[in-house]
Amino acid sequence: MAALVRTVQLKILQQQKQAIWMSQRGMTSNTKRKGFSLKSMRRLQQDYDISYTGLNRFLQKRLKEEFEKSESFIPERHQFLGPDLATAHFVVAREGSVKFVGNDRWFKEDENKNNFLPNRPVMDMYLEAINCSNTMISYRGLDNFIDLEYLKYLNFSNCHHVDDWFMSRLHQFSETLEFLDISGCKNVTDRGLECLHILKKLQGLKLSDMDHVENLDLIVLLLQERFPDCVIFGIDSKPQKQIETDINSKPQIITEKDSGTKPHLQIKTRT
Amino acid sequence: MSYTGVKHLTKADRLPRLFRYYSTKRSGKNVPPGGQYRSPWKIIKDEFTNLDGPLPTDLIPREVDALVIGGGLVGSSVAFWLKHLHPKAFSVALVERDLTYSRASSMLSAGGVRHQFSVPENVQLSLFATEFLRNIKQYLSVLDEEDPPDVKFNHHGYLFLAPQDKAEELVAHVKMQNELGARIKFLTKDKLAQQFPWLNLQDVEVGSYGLQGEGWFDPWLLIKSFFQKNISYGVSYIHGELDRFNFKSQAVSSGTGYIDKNYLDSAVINGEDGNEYGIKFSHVINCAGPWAGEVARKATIGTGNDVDLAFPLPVTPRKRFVYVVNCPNGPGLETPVLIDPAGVYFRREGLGGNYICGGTPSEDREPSTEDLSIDYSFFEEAVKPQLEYRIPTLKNLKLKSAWSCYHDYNEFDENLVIGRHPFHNNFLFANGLGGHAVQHSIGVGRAIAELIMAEDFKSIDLSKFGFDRFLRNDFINEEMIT
Repeated sequence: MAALVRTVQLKILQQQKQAIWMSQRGMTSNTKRKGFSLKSMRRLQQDYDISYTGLNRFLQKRLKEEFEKSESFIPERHQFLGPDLATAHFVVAREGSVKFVGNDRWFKEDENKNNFLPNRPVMDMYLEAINCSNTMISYRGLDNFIDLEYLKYLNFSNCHHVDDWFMSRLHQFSETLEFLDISGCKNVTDRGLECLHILKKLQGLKLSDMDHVENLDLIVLLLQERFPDCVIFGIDSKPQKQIETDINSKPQIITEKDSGTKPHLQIKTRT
Repeated sequence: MSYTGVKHLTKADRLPRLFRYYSTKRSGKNVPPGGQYRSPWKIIKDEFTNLDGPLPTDLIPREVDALVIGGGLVGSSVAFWLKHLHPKAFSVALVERDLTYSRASSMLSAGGVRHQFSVPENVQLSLFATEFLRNIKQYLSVLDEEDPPDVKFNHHGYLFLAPQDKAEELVAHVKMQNELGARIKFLTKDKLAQQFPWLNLQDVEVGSYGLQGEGWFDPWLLIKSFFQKNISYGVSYIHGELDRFNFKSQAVSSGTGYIDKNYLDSAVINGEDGNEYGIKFSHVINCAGPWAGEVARKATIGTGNDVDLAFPLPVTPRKRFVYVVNCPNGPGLETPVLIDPAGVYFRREGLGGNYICGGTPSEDREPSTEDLSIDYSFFEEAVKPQLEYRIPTLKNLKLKSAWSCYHDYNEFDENLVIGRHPFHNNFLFANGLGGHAVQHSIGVGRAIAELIMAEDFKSIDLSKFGFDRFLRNDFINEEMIT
């Protein structure tokens, strides 16, 4: 509740400051600048690409902007439903599923776009697990995940927009989160995995399909050092070529013939 | 108006008028700025010198709308925002004498972004830097986001520690920062001990920890991205050094008659091929970093014979050292960027047990700025003992390497100088950023672009950092400077 009040107060403060700033500069409605505004002059000067690819690009950009706006925080929703139910509605509307404390059922949207979540605030419904795998959740969407006191499980596997900036926002769940799954998120790098140190109660971490991360083994070792009780699984146990090189092994020279031209050498070290 | 004043007289001016328009053999070529006469023979000769490539005057234009001096982060950012906000309105040229950036402060800095300042405008600038870097793909990608630029941002908060007497101030600052949109957590002593058990909290009472948006990144990647995007927008990068400014005098009536006032008209740049190129500009923006004082002196700021020209730009270079140490038992992934109350900073670098540290030398121990040599005794005397006191697990630390960089230090109040000069209305400052140049450069660039186009700061109000605060002796006290 505190975070909700804080965001609403912040919005009001910013609006007030903007109003004072504008009136100090004479930017109120009766002292408008005469002539074309700079914005319209700029629009007149731009090159407009009305080819097929240009229009396509414009459409994609607008769709992206619309999507980003739809993910923003709506204070009224949280005020009316309370944080847990509001987050549940947000997640379920975006093809995720949620689970509440004391109830084994996963709430999900079915083909007829029905979800069985209550539309009115209900007592004692606390979110315990959120599964957002294969969704388009991003940085802005995490604005809606506030004040979840009992949240233990988060699944963001195979989400395209989960990147390092998203990982840096997981500090919101530092007090309660116990299990996190970020397998297959291709935009997370080792700098994103470093942000996981803030989750105090972490007990399980799933990191499969993360081969694009550069120093994955080292990061996992450091995370294990930080959280001794945590189980980190999903990583293949075959030895990585980059880290282990046997200095005493003889190099194995492989030659490749390239359609009759000079063969070029390729040196491989045995691990 | 006549072209007199502080102009350098060339050989052609000493010739009788009849011969002035015929080419004379001179040692170095001198291309006059826009507005001055060039003989038709010379123009034809230039057109035929380089049939395959661009004209020499396309590489170094004879006139531009905005001339940016200095190609570091601040200069690149100013050029980018001028073109980004109004793509067709300006022609922009950027002068940089060393395109390898071998001694540039932008390259050599530690590249940190923090939101914890005591002046609200600094907080807003840093918040904008975070937002820019988060959306860097839509700002700086050149071909439809197929090759997104990446600055390798490490997300780790800054931890400021404060003793008992500074505790109340820290509370007020944290409140102000959170109101502006940052996420800073205020920690009392027991919470600090809980979250960072490896810290020695003997004389520390409170701390503030940044939760999101703070960290460090690689400034070279950012300069490279700015460079590519600027080239795609059509900014002319001039590899040369500013030699002098040319002035044009205007008779202005005073109480007893008319006096000549010399206003900035064009700049003369020593190109890399040894020739001199004149560029006529409408605005010139000083982004020369630590060497901004020299550029201002060339524009007679501080040496001119006018009341407004009496005060020089008080930006001088100061050398700062960054030391890389290695300790296998040091704090791990959870290490924040630690700012000690004694002025020493410390952060993790990479995953191999390496750390970066440094500190601010006291006034009497300022190192000389002749070259980039490193003073290791400063580490042994000032930085190492404080680190070992603050973090007891760093007992066996070994110094691995070090580097030094220049800071553009504002001797007046260590804060940024931005805005127009009161006398030379077309000379704009973007100097004095000091150690915060890397994080504030993006916001400052946008502010300069707004100032030139709309005559006012639209997004972040930086009018209190103007040059006239020197004339009014108005100090801006920024308490959280590292």
